[in-house]
Amino acid sequence: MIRPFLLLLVSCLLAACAARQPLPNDSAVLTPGAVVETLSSTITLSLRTAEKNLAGRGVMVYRRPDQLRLILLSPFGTTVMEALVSGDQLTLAYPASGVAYQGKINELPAATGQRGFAMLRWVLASDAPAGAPHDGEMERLSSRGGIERISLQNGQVVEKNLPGGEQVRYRNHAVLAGVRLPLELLMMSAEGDRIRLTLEEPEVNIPLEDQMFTIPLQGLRLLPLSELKSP
Amino acid sequence: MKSLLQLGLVVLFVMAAQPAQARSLTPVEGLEALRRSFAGLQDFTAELTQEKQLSIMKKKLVMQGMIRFKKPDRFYLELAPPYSGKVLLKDTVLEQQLGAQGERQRIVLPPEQGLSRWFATVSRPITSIPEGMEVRAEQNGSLTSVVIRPAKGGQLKELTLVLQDDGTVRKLVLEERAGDRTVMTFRKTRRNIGLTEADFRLE
Repeated sequence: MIRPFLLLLVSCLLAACAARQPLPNDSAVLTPGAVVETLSSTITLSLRTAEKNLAGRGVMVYRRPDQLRLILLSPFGTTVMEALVSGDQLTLAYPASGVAYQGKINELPAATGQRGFAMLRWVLASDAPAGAPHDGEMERLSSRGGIERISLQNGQVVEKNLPGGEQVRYRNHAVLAGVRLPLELLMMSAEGDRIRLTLEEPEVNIPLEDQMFTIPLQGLRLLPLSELKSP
Repeated sequence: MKSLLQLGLVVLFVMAAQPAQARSLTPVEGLEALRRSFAGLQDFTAELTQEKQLSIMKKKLVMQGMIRFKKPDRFYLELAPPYSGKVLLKDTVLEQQLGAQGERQRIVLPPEQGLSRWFATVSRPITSIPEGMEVRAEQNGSLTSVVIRPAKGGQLKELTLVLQDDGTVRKLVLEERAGDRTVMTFRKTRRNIGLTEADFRLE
């Protein structure tokens, strides 16, 4: 349940990267029309559920439109988990266990957070809807069915809610390379799980090579994504 | 993650112990020297620089911090900003906090993975190299290095320890099979200074 949610969070974060009109706390200059083409950053992730609290530090890279790689590190710097999203393909690798899982996102067993990935497109659709208020709230038919409520500030989506209780908030916006970037994202699942992702020292629109979006799988036992079990 | 953490802890504690002999060592002698040196250690503290070179990043990830250890089962790691975080291990209870206001994570390890159990294991004399493991030990001037290649199939490809001839640890290098590399450099190592329970808190 946790792992896919983390990736979803990152995607949520990136979905809010498109440049918009300045928020009141802006101290840098936005470049009209500029968007996040690439992002590289160290990150912290924390999860709070009714059963446990988890936290970790890692790094991530993103390349528009649909490539994302995430590495979570142990306190000693070794890799705990890697994830790669490329289109509708998902690869999860656990080097310490010597195993990796690969397949289409929709092949994830429900118990491991398939619902979270099913939300991906909804989350990525963060552009302000036509006719949306500059500041305030609006409702519209969600791509996932039902009515979604969207909160806007200075023409930018800052929060989205689904009828089932799923919620995404974007906080601590900064302008880097002319692009607005939320440095903190808070997401709450329908089950009440809270996940927070924080960007540390992000770099925007720097060149990223293809190899950065490939998980080394040598030495790992490769299994279908459908065999992934809940951590 | 748990196994790697414990392996790292064992290595760190052994590194902080008494001087290794300044001579060429056979594999068994290399491991046994490390084990013997740990026998005289009660506690230690050191400043730490951790450099992580990831294939996913162009720049190195450099973290500064400090570590503490006290026999038989206490370990504490604190990282300074901008990557601030704390890790506390009390035998089988691992607590971690990321950032100044970060959520606190608590994991209870199985008894067989407790820190005291691991050190009880490594306190036994080493008479042979574990199957599948490769060990090299050599001296260059005042520095002694021990290179350990764990059995194939694990996450770690190679682990390198570099110690001064007075036994003070200088460097620990972890190379993963995927190619990522972590270098930990230690400074101001102090041994047997009487650390107390108050030195092992997350607050």
